[in-house]
Order: sequence, then structure tokens, then C-alpha cells
Amino acid sequence: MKTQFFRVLALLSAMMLAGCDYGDRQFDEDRTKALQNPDAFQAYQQLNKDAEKNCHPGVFRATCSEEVHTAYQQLALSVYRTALNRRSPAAFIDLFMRDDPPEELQSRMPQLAEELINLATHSAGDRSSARLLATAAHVLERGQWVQKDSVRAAAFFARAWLAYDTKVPASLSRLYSEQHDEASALLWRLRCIGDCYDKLETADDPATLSPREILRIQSLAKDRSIITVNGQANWEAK
Amino acid sequence: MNILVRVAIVALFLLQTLAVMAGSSTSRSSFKSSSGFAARSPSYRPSSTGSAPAYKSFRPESGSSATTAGGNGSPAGRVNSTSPGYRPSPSARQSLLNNSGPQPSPRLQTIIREKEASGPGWIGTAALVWLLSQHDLSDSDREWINSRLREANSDSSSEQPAPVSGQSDVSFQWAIPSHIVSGLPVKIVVTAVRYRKAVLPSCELDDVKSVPENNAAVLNWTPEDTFSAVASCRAEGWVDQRLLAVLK
Repeated sequence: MKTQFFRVLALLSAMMLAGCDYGDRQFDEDRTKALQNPDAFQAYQQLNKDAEKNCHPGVFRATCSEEVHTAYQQLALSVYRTALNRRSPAAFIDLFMRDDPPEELQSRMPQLAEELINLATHSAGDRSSARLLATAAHVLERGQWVQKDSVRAAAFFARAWLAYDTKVPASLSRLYSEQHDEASALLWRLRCIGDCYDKLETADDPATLSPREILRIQSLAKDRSIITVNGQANWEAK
Repeated sequence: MNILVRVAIVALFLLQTLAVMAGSSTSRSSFKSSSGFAARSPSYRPSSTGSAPAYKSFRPESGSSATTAGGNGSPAGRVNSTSPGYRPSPSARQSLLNNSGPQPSPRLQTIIREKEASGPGWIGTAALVWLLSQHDLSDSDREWINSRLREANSDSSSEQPAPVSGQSDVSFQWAIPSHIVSGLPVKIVVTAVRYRKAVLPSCELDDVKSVPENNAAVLNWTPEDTFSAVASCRAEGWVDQRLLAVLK
């Protein structure tokens, strides 16, 4: 009786140990794949999936050891840094769209923000650049890692809009509204249609504008080259 | 005996389960208490969806968090190109041709009408300066433009009234070619008016700075490797910007 009990105990212990070995082996395979991937940010994303698959705990399922967890963590950070060093737009977008940057990168954030803006400045302005342009715009609008610059932010937002980012008008409407430029805020509010519309803080026309100005701005909004209104709202009152 | 074996199996099963849960707990807390990187990584979140890290939710939600492909807003507009079918007919008071005096050649009249119909921004001194920059003008047309330019600079009646308090008191007029093609030089002319007086704006577009010409700021720019650019002009503390789309 006792012998059988200990046999079962030994068998189950062996199963648990085998699970740990499996985690280690799997990590080695995942690391090799990640290091061979020429796209470092893609490798980082894959590593996250691998780690979840390998280390996510579950009944009757192998879980990796604490050491393997740490190894995944360190490797992910290393690959992420590589992606940033290689100026991967996707990595920069990921970094600056997080609520908080990784602590390891906090001290580099101002420098990385400058690099993001530089990348956006030299981007082609096509569809694939839209998110990069909008991310740079947000960084300049917020002023957390670089000095706030609403003019440059508006320029990046506008280029993102031309690159088919349809929610940008809501951001530009907010930007001008915060600057108390109600005419330009209305111009962009009028352009905020479809999936953008729900993002608007307000859909009302500002009380500071006259009916004639509001109609004039509606006309100006059809000219997609116009970003700011300034005195144009009064043009027909000449 | 059987009872003992069953108890042992159940005990070991519970032991394994507890060990797995403990491992999970320690591993999560270890990521959280670590220097913070992987703790924010999607794979260490309990969600099985491989969800994204906590990303900024801009106020209101920004375009940057949106997928860009397949947007249905179709901002396919090009420079000064208005949406299809939008051809505002300038009011009679706005047209450069609304003058009881001598008229330019029929060819120039056609050009002016086409440009004025191309958008609300093409008007005023900037338009005249732009016309003047065209190389194939006859002497009489050139003289007509110059006379209109002198008129515009001296005629205070053509200026706008004071704007609503708090709004910009500077009006910028832009003359932008209707098509901007990559690799081909373009001339963009900008003028500004404040309280019935022309003010000289200062403009920039990428690395290009404007040069003054007849009370106008002129940008000579050759687009390369881009589908878009933004020209920014400043006058009397106000900033005016235009979005330029480049055809490849």
C-alpha cells in the first residue's frame, strides 16, 4: 500500500519536473527565433505571445520557472531596445502610445521623442505613415517629453488626416478649442464625420461666432487644404 | 489500500494545482515588482487575447490609436482641390475681374476664373502675385496685373472689417498651384491683411523659408519623397497653415 502511494507520488513529481524542463527548452527555441527575426519589433511581439503560451499557468499544463519568466522579460526588453535603436516606426508608436513608458526607458524618453518627431518629419505621408504622424502630433500636443508645440502638432495631425486617419479631425478640433481658436475648432469639427463623430467633445457651434461666420466656415471646410481659419471667416463680409 | 492511494492522488493533484497557482502568483508579482518593463507587456496580462499594453487614451480618442487602413472618411483631397463637385462660385465682389476698368486678355480671364473657382483661398493680392509669377504673360496682361496690385495695396476699401473679438484679426490669402507634383518646383504666394493694412507674413515649408516679394511671402519649393507637407505662415502673432498634397 505504502509502496504504491510513493510510486504515484514519484510519478507526479516527475511530471512536474518535466514541465519545468519543457519551459526551459521552449524558451531556448523562442529566443533563437526572436534573435533570428530581422524585424526586432515583430520579434518583440512574438516573444510576448510565446511567453504567454509558455508561462501562462493552468491546471495540467506546464508552467515555466521563475528564471524562465525573468529570461523572457529581459529578452523582451533587449529586443524592444533593438527595435528602437533601429528606428522601427512601430516600436516608437507602441512606446509613445502607452500610458507609461517602461521604467528602463524613462531617462531616454526626451531623446526618443525627438527621434519620433524626426521620423515623422521625414515620413512619406502615405497610409503607412498615418499612425506615426498622429503619434508625433500627440507628443507635441501634450508636451510631456518635448516642449509643447501646437503649430507643429497641427501640421502632423493634418498630414495624418490626409493619410486617411479619419479620427484626426476630433484631435484638431480639441487642439484649436484649447487654444480658444473657435473658428478653426469649428472647421475641424465639421470635418469630424463617421467614426470620428463620436469622439467629439461637443458638436455645438460656438456662441462666439456669428451665423455668417459659421456658414463661411462650413464653406471653407470643404477645401481640404485649409487647416486654420484666422480672418477667413470674415472674408465675405468685405 | 485503495483509499490511501486515492487520498494520495487527490493530495498530489491539489499540491500540483497549488504549486502552479503559486508560480503564477509569484511570477506576476515578480513582473510587477521588477523594473517595470515586462510587467506592462501584453503577454503577462491574464487576458488570453494577447491584449495590448495600457495605451494612452487621448481626449478625445486620437487618430493615432485608430487603424489607418480603409478609413471611410476618404481624405483623398489634394491641394486646393475641393471635394468633387465643390466649385464655389466666387461672389462678384471677390473676383479679380470685377473691375469696370480695362480687362486682361481672354486667356488670362479664363485662368483667373478657373483659379477663383478652384477654392475660396485663391483671391486677393496673393493671387495677383501668383499670376505675376507666370512666365507666359503678355506685356498688356502683366501691366493689368501690376495695376491691380497697386490698386490692392492702396485701396483700403477692399479690406475686411474688424473680426469678432477674440478671433484672429489677420486674414491670410494663399495662392497655391492646383496640382503639386513630386520633383517639380512650385511657387506658393501668401499675403496677409490686418485692420485694412497689408502685413508681410513669414512662411516656412519643411526647410524652405519664404522670401518677400510685393508685400507677399513667396515659397519656392520642390517636393520630394513625400505625399504631403504643411506650409506655415506667421503674421502679427497669428499662424496660418495649409495642407499640401503631392502627386507622385
